Amino acid sequence: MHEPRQKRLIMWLLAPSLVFVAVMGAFPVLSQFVLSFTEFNMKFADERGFVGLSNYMRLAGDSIFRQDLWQTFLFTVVSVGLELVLGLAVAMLLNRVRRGRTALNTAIILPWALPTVVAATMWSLIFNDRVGLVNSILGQLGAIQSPIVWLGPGLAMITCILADVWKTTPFVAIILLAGLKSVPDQYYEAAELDGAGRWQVFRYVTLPLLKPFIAVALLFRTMDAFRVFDVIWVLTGGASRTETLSIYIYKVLFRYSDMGYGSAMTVALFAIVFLLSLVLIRFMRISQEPVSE
Amino acid sequence: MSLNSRARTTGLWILRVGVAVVCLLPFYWLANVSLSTPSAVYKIPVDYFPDPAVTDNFRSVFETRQFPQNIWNSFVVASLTTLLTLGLGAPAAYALARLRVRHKEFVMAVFLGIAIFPAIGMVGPLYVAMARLGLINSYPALVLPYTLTSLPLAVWILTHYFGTLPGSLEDAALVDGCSPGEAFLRIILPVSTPGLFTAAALIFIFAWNEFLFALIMTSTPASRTVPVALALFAGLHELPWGTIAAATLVSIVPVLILVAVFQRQIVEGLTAGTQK
Repeated sequence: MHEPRQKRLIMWLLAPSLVFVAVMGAFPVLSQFVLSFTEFNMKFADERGFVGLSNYMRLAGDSIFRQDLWQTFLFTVVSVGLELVLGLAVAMLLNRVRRGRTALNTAIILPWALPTVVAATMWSLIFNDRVGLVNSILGQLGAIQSPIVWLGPGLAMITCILADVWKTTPFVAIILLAGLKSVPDQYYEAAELDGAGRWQVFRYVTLPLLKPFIAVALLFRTMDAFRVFDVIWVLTGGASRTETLSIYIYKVLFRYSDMGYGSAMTVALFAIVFLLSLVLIRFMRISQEPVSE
Repeated sequence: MSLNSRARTTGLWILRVGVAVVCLLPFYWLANVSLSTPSAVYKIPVDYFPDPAVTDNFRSVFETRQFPQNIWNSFVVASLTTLLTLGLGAPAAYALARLRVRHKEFVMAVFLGIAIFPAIGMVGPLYVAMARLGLINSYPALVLPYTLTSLPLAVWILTHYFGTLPGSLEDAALVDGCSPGEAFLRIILPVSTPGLFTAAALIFIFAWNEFLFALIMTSTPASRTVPVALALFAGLHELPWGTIAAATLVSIVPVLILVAVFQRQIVEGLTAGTQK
């Protein structure tokens, strides 16, 4: 193919999506940075002006922000941790299933494919303190005297995490299942010939070969969990100590119409997610180095 | 088969069925509540089967003119998003996968950067922009942001897919007198339908499910998509759990169909980046 002709073709192929990303993507990203240095309330649109770092100063002293950062962190660590452990267990259960594989896979994918709002609605129905399934069963078993308020103070975060784990463990399981399928059978045969037990095979064959897949799942899940919005919005609206950073930012931006301060918080959230993903990618690099044990 | 290994196989199957039950139980509960009468919903202890089973809740979902409109909105938005994303993403993925693109890493990094930026950070400025353009409550206010956020996924999946096609395809097309552009349109795209369907299924599901943008970009009941309508249901009425359950069940029908038909493609799409 002639070089100039190919260059022209490449331009025609790439230009539409790059222009689209530049207009739709670069604009909001850059304007967040600019807005974060301004005082800009949608309700008083005339009084906008450059205020330097004052939004960031306010952020540093904002105890709600600190509280929500901690809650977001808690939600992320516990839910992603549980999803990895359960996802690995499910993946190992489903590996090498022949009969009934399609039915099992479909059942597993369903929670992931649902709107998060739907999943959260289901769980709010199941955990409802007056008409919910869980309290009813516990009551019939005689385990509780009065209904437990699952979405009230103390328990709400746990219930939110549970709903998230139910919905996203399938995603982790699918990624890890692909990892298990990529391990050649000879590895297991060789390990068995060497007289390795089940635990040893898992520890020294499966787990090391699965590391890159675990890292991918960990990266995607952590980034998503740290930006969590829907589940919590539907289950508690951020009450009972479940407010996460995305919910707080939503309130500042769209309830108080404080675009300046909201933008500063967004930039902070972006920075945190970016740093987190850098750390995780570093961890991935390390784990992708050849295993020598 | 020894007794021991038979016991093990049985045990494994019990666990597998257990996993499936945990995944499906909430659906059963939703169906149960949606078929119950309003008074049965508030009975404690609950009925584990609807007795009597009534379809009133479904009727009231469709009698309110709003919800069918919400379903239609979701359908239009998800379909347009899928088409636009594939229209933009497929050519880009083709160039990245099969042509000598200079600064390839940079182009890939641009798409990846979009994927990392928090949605809550895009929604503010895009809201201001859409409001200025008078597009709040319109389909473009959702289709354009959704296309932006699903473009990285589409490029990612399709780059991998195009990479797996044999290199002789274009050569044959060129020998037959096709221009390079025609080779892409007439030869590569038609043989890539499995990859395109994989990407399309994931994009459609994503757009059908999205909540945050939909919540902010729409302000009238008639312009809402399904997830927002569902989330705001509770606020409108005195917690009509039966109707909420019925509406929720109806809203997931498209997703159920997609998962049933494209189960294999969805798994392939999700794992596209993980193996080489």
